[in-house]
Amino acid sequence: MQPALALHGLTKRFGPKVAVDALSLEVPAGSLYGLVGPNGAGKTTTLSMATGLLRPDAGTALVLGHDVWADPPAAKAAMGVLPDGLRLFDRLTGRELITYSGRLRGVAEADLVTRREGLLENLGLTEDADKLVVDYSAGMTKKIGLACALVHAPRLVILDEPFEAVDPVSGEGIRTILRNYVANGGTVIFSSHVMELVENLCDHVAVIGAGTLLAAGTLDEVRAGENLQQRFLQLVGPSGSSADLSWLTGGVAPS
Amino acid sequence: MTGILVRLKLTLLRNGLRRSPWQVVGLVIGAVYGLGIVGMAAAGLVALRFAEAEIAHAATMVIFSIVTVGWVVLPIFVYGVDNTVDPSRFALFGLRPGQLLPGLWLAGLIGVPGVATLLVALCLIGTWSIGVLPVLAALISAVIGTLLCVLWSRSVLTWLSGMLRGRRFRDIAIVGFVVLMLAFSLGMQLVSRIGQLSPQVLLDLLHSAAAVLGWTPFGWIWGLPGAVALGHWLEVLVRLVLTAALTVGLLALWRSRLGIELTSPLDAGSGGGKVRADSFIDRLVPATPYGAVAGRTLRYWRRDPRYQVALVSLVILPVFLIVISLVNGRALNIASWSPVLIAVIGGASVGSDLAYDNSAFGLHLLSGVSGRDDRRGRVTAYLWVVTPVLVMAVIVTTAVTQAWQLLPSVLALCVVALLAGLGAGSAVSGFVPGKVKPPGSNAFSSGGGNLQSLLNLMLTSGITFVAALPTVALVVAAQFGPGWLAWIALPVAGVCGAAVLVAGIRLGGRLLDRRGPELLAAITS
Repeated sequence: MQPALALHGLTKRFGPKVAVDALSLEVPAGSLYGLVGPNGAGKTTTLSMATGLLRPDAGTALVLGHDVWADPPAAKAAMGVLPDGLRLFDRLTGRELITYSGRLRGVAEADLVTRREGLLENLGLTEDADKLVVDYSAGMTKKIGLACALVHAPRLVILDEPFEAVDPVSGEGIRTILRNYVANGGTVIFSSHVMELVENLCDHVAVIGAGTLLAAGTLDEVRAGENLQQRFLQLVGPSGSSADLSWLTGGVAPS
Repeated sequence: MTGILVRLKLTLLRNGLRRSPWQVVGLVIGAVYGLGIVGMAAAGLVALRFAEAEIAHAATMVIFSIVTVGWVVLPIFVYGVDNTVDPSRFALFGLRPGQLLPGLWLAGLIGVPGVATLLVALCLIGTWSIGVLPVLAALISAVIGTLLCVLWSRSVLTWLSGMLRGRRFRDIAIVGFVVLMLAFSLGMQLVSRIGQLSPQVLLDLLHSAAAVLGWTPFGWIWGLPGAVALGHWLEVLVRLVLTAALTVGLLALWRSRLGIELTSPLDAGSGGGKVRADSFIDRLVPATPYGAVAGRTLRYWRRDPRYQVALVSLVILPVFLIVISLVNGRALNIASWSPVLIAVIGGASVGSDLAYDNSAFGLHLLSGVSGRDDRRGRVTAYLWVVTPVLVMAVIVTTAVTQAWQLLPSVLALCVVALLAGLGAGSAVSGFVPGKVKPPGSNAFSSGGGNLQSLLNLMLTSGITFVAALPTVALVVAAQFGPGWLAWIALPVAGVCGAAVLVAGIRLGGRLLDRRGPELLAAITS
């Protein structure tokens, strides 16, 4: 079967620093794919190149067979994206922002109203739908961004840190939405720092470190009999030094 | 504690300067400007020594009362630029208000405004160098008066800080400040006519102003040396008592509020309420990608203070020109052309519209909206905003100046400037988008204007000018030759403008499709 997302040799340099180094990855259609890696590993850079926000120095990105950089309209129509670190048009209200996103995508007006209200309801934003997004909390901003990514019913959803700053109740709501979406044939790839979350939610996982792919495959393949946290630390390498902090416990060394 | 806070403020100043050489340039320019003002004020104050004591008394009271009011009012508008010693930042350290207060007070004095005020106030010694007692009184009132300025400003700011942190208030303050500045410069135009009044009337004005201001809390301390010099000992006593009471009162107010600020920190200001659904905008534009962009841009003209400032300036500009020419009694001919300025600015400003999006433009990239729809949408919104302003301006200026014979010429220039400007801006911003302040940033913080934006503006206005050349030639010929040439200028303007507009949208759209990611990187801050 054709992969939902296929990255081949994606490379990006910022000056002398190689942020992403010839990274290749295939995301099978119908999978819930977790992307993990330490800070600065190149997750956001990779996803930006896969979604058309950042031009790669080399390599290709195919979305359901459409090349993101050779045939952007077809590729972009097939995916919904929640970027990290981009502003929103935050002088619109939540309701207006979803409408805006839908209209840019050419969603039919009748569908747009139903989908918008459904998304607002499901994400618990109905009450604040007429407030400006600039006045939203960080979690609410994430959720409205997610709604914008879903409103055109894409086949592939790419989410950069979708659970960051989101409260547990809304987080469960988002998980339910994503599970249902995958159960009905959609594909999700998202990045996260929380191993437990990835372990619970995903069926596939990829580990990125220093701009290269360290491991990828089904959850069990990558875990290789351990839990994801331990496996991740093995792949990425242990954290640096362990300077003496015994003063913090009143001079008693922790056992 | 006091020493720590003063050193903190000095460190913050120094680190601010280290950030970029432009900060140093800014400080030097600010210092030169400040020194200029200080120098002029010093000269004026010393010159007052040779005026009658009554006049010097009245004049110094009025001047320094206004300075004090400035210390209260201006920081409200620029709140957030210098909150380097914002009390809520000390909330986590478990300090008492009494420990912080002296340090915050002194730290408020450090910086260009504090030093300039102190220097100017010390020149009062020059004014009152007519005896030992007046000099002493001048010295006392200069030091205490300056400290009171800072105390005023800190107390008021601390009391209002909850409100000032709110997004809604900042929005209003930005626009309010621009309106205030424009009104102020208009007022100066009128003040410049005061010179034509007789000296006696001026003196009466000064004395009545002094009588009022000098007895407001802002002026109590500043009347001290004059009262001493004139030998009004009862007044001296009253002023000293009132000043002491004021100081104690302000300190108590500040201290009580500081206590609250220190224990209820990190309140980012209450979130805004619901927004009126302006569904009329949705009726104005079609439910297509292009219509969505137009509707979004229209909403931004209504809601983003950066756009509101632009709109206010656009509306006030011709008023400004008309008032100036009326006041100066010059030929009103210049005023009749003022709508052209609106068309030029309103048209060319579409060139920086992409930069106003900042990284939010990423949404356009992600949704694969075509560059043409993006360009068309923005142009449509600008047309909706600028055209009514332009029509009103043409009607009002023509009614005021009665220069009906100029109407076709003015209209022709307006049409070509607006349409060609919109077209040129649409194309140029796909090439050099320029860089503007990010949304929600303080309007008075540094940033903004740079080489990119300058290039953007030069290219846009250059193309507009070239496109307008045939029209300009016809209009000029009509002024000196047969008047009917102006009527030919009108269709020529329409054709040239429309051609540039269509070509600009097409070219700009293609550039956007091709260079989307590069443009996003260029406008993201």
